[in-house]
Amino acid sequence: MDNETNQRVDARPTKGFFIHMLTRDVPLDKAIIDLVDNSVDGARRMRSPGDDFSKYVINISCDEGQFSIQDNCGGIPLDVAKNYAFRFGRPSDAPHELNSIGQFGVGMKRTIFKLGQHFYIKSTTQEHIFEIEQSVDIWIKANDWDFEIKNVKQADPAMTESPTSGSIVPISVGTEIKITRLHESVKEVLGRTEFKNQLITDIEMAHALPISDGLQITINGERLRPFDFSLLKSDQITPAREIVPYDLSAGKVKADIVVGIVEEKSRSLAEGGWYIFCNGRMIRAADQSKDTGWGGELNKYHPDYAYFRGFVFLEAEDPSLLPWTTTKSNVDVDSKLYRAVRQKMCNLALPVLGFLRNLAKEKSALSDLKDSDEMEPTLQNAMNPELGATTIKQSRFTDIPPATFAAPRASVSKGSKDSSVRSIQYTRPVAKIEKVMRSLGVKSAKEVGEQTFDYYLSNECE
Amino acid sequence: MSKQPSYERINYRLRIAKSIERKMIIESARRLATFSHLVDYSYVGFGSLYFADFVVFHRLLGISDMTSIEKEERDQERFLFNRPFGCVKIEFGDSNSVLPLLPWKKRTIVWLDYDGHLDEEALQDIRILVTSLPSGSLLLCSVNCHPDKQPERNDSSPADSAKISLRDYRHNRLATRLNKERIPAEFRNSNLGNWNLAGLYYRLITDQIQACIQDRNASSDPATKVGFHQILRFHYEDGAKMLTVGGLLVADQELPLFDKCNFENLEFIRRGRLDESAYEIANPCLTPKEIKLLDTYLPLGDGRSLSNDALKMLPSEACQRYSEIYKYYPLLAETDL
Repeated sequence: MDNETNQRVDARPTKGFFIHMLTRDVPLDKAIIDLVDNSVDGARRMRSPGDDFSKYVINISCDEGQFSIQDNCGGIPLDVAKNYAFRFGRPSDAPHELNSIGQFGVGMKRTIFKLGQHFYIKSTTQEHIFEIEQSVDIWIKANDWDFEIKNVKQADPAMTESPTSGSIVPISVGTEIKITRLHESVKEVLGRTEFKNQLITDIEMAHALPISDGLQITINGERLRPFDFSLLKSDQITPAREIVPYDLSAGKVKADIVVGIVEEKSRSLAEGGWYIFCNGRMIRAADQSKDTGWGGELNKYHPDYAYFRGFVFLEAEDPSLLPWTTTKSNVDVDSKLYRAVRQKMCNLALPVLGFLRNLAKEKSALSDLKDSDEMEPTLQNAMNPELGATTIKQSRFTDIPPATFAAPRASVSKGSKDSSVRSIQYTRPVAKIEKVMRSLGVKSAKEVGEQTFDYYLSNECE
Repeated sequence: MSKQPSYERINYRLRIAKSIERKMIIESARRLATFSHLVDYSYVGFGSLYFADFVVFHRLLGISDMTSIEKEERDQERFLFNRPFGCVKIEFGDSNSVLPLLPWKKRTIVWLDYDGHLDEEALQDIRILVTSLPSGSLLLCSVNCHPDKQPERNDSSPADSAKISLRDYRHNRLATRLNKERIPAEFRNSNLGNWNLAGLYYRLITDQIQACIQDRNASSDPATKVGFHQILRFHYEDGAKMLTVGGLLVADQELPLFDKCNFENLEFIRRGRLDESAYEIANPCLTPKEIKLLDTYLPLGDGRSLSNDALKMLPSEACQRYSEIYKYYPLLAETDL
């Protein structure tokens, strides 16, 4: 084809451009969590079925000079390192690891490039030990895209005792990644307490499930705490659950949706909303946006709903079927699967929101009533721990059976309260109320309210 | 007349167009027998205190699994007392809190017969039903679509508040009921008068149904995909302009049953084609004596026509309109039930 009129252009990306594009849109904390994701996938792979995560440890250490992560979660097998782990993007022939978190084939490399100019990786599996060490600035100048695997050795079985066969061995079969010559901007951020605290919270949320199941993660020696999975249950109130199997042409996905309320003392405006998990990884925490239906299928999120908690556990053997974005920090709202799941989520949630609206009404009605004998706090009683309400604390709420939400619908009024009248309560500045008092020639705020209402009624409505 | 001088009672009993609509809906619902025996259907509606729809769906179709949703929780005893049959259950609460709790295992006729205008809550109810109802179910939605009237202001009102145009006033009212982003661009400059608001509501209801059908089908296997097949679009007026939209949810594999319903041969059927307008339920002003006379010339054809000399004294348009709905025209009599 090459002749004078047809010539070829070199359209290969430069490595520098490639690294820039790869790292520009991922926030530093999300990049670091990608490495934790890999460790958790390793632990899940190592674990015997039915086992929890209590034998596994992930230690992160970071300061202005370096970042490192060490785990005992099985290491990177040599053939995986050679063929897949260091490729950019998952090769189409790569086998999918069942129910894993990692799937896009960008995580580890993206994090290394995002953080610094030099990296060292040591992997110890039950078969092999190997190392990779590379300066990124030198690699950029090289013509090929390869990394050199060094010091490949057969593993000594005695040295690589599997953690499943004994108690925790801090670093036996696992991976160590150390990044040095950090970028200037990264140095500054990693040194900040605020960033470290944010990272702790982010990992506590992202890996809330494995941490609840015993996984030990530390950051600079500080052990991360388990997330509070709790929902209220009483004689009259039971959380709702629906398990929906989806049989997609490309494979199967299971959606397990649990919704309910938390007890009075756990009410929190910031923590109310939806928590979405894909293969055990939390990708949305306390979502109060339109992405999870608020202000669309549901009313807008509102302080009355601060008791609401919704948990969505999506599971698929093939992780590419799940609706997550590459940073695993959001749902892909346009995904067909997610659109179908969201309808189920909202149908399950609506009765809970109705209950919470009635609860708010009951509270305000009771505070308005001078004579509290007129009305029973039916809804509040149903939530009262002193009257038997308890809290289910379980990472996947496995004790909650599939059912719709059950709760009392309305407060019981005592005696013969006249339903044809209703009280109105509102607040205005004192100075303005007194001005109207003088104008009307009355002595109380109550009279101001009644007379201004009657005035409006006779002048504008009748 | 009745011993109960309640304005509500008179309203409900003498709403002629509503009564005709109810009979047309019953006539359509009979055709659902191709899917299942009607006695195996459920009925869900807003019975209020009068349960007019529950009475006819039970008496005429034999449906006995009936649920009325009642948002007024204050007068529970009164509502329970007024149930016309023992088989009517009442679920107290907002419709969008109660609808998701119903089982939706059986084919169902649901009539969301709202008193008021279309709002976000009504669209939520439609979403719940479109994503929950099994194939063979009939979904009906009625809303008030009478153009908003600007309140008359008297002299004591602040002068500038009266300056807003009627069109802007109506759009402001609309914005209190519905999310702005729902309103299609072509309605933004409409004055929303006459039947324009009904046109907008029809569009919003059908848009919502289509979007929810897509979401429902998004991840289901092809065999269980459902479609919405409109059969009814009524305009009627007993004082306020009203719109009813109705249609069936049908799984693709049950489409042959839908075809067997032969809805097309009912004169009031509206399948929702682009060039099609609503079926207007006529409410001609004729006296009972005139109606008796007209009935002797109906149905038209076979030698019978409205041009008969005996009918000359009657307004021809009213006669024409009556001839379209005479089978559904309510028989009114003074009685004490």
